Amino acid sequence: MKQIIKKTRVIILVFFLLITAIAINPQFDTEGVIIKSVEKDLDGNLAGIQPPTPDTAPTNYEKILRVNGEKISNLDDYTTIVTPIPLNETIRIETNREVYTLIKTTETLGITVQNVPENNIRKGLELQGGTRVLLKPEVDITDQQRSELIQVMEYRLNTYGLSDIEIRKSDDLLGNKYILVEIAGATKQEVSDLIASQGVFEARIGNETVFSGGEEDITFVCRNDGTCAGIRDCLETQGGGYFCKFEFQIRLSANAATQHADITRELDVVIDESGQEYLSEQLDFYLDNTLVDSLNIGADLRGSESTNIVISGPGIGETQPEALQEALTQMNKLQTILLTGSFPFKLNIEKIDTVSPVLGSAFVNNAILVGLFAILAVAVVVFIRYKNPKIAIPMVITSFSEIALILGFAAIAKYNLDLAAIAGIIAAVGTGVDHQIIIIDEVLSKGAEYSYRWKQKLKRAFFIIMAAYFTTIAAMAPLFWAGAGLLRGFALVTIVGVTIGVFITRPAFAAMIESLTQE
Amino acid sequence: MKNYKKILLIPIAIFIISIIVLSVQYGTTGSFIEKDVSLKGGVSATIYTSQEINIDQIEQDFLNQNPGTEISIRELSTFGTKQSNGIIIETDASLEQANFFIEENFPSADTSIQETGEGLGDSFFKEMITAIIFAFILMGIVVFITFRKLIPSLAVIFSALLDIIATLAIINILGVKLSTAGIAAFLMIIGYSIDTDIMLTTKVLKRKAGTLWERTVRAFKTGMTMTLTTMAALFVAFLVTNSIILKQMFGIILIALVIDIISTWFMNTGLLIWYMKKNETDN
Repeated sequence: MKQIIKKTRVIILVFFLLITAIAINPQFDTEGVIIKSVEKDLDGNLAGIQPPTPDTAPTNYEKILRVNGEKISNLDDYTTIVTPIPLNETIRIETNREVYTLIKTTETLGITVQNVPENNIRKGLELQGGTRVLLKPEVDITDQQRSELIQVMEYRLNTYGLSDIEIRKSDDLLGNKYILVEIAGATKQEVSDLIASQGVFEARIGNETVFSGGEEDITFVCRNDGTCAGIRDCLETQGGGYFCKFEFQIRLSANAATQHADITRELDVVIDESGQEYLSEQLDFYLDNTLVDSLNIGADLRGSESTNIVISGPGIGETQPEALQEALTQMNKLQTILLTGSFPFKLNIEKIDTVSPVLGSAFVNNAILVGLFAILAVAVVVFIRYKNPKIAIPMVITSFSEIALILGFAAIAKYNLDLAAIAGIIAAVGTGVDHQIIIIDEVLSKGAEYSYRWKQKLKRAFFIIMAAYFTTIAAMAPLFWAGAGLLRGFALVTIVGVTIGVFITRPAFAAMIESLTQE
Repeated sequence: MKNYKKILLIPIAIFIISIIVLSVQYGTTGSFIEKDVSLKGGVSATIYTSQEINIDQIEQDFLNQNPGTEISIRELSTFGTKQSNGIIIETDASLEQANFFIEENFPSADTSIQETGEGLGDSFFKEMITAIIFAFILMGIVVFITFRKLIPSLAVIFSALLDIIATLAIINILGVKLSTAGIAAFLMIIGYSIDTDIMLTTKVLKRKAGTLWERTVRAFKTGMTMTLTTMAALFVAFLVTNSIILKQMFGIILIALVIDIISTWFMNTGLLIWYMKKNETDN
């Protein structure tokens, strides 16, 4: 045993395993909730809570430990304590870093919280649930245009209130340019609408555009403030369903207000049955060329450079809560688009994957089980062949080390572990077992014609291993460019895994076998 | 030992039969493989539910609600029990139609839904085929650089080719619909099948100790251990995994490993011995 620990190759393996342990940083205390994101200029942010940077390791997020003196153990605790607190009340939030005092003006306090992660391994789509959307612009675009588009999209999704998003470019061999969006956690249908819709908003009177979405025409959009945004009324429709109407205020820029004055000046005043005076044309709201709503314009607004405008739209559902929810969703979407402007071109959804969070955690548990059983099966076969625990045990240790090192690499590289990555780990560890058998048979071979020394035997084993290593890399390399990068993670993890295996774990395995069998 | 030429007939026969199977498939369907929705476009939904499941009823309801669409439903069961715990729906209906149906019929179920556009599925398939061809060529180059001898290198490459072709034929006969992940499995096959072939070629071609036969037997022992450990691990993983994507990958590689036993120990070994004997007599 002492001999093993002294071997340089084993020391190198232990060194890397230690780095892995530090990188993964397993947590034994998961009390509290972490602050995942902080919305600008809302309660939390105003009280001084800072949003985490994208580089923050999952175990380094600021943790909320107490709210108003009550202990928070998990997300459920947090919700039960924060939700009943009435608006405009003061809340005291204690984190692991500071104590904040804030005034509740919105339900969410403008912060998103999550349960404390158990380690620094970032879970991807299939492991924690979420949505992945692959988008393709309808026209050919340059790399520069795509980068600009990604910026607008990030801004739009953040404004909508989604923080855990990843947007990246991806290409295929034919030169198609794609955009890949991944959103963690539970997401609903409307999110994919929000991602894919170009978001060209126009307010028209007749055929003339009064103003459009984006900061050029719109200087302020009322959100999260009941006094200037909300659901105004809900009605039962004749068909048996329900209809809710949302309204929110916006402020126009001076230019847009002049435009409004110029166009309305030309209109006539008409009087409806109830005696109200309106202008002869309505103000129509179009989103991506679809009419959202039409409003009567009060006669007193004729020719006025009014900067305050109310935007409205409907939400329809079979029941009243459904209609209400739909109206809120539509309002949030429209507010977001008005704030962030439109995309310079249309995008088509090429592929959507949605995984529910429950399935995600079931997948993680199952993957661990699969790994354990697979390594056990290998150990059984190896034990049957060699009838020697001194071979089977180092093999199991080596395989587990390989998995650990790959996970450590993923934690350091801030790589999101998804199904493709899991397949890569399986491929890498599988090749690892093959190579360990090559080492065993090479170094344990007996007989007069095989009287080489250890070093030579190892050299011979590693000739085969290196050749196999390079063929694996050759087989995986094309996936970096092919297929819109959807299988890039698989190729990357496989290559990283076999590289770790060839240079760290397999040499250590050879050293272990040498010490154990020469005693 | 004398029969090494005759045993070559087995892999050759498998190769020919596989080519015939694939050609027939190509002739009748226009594609040499049956694709699932991730490659041909459409919606695939995995629904885990404890609800009572009546597949015919679900199918009828779906078609009544979405006339003109096609749907295929499979049942899922948990490992170890025969109890059903959900279904997989594949349809050419739209994502909205599928979502609506699922929310209405399985309101409390945990789901994973995937929609692939027809255009993407098509280009993705072509890209993957290109990737496999490139992978194959690159692998061939590495093998040539390693051994620097034409016939032994070709023997290794043919062995990998046979693995791929025969596995394709078998999953065709089994009626497996190939997914994107299934294609990734074919790239893994290149990696796995090559390991044993490289080991065999190194031991037989580059080693001098022992007779040709002794070296071959030694390589066989090592190679079979490699293949059997991988098969054992994959078989267990195949049974335990709850991911249909991983299940297909494991299944495909398992089939390929069975084929690999034939291609490595009948074809590659046969060709290699032939080559060694010929060189001995030439010298």
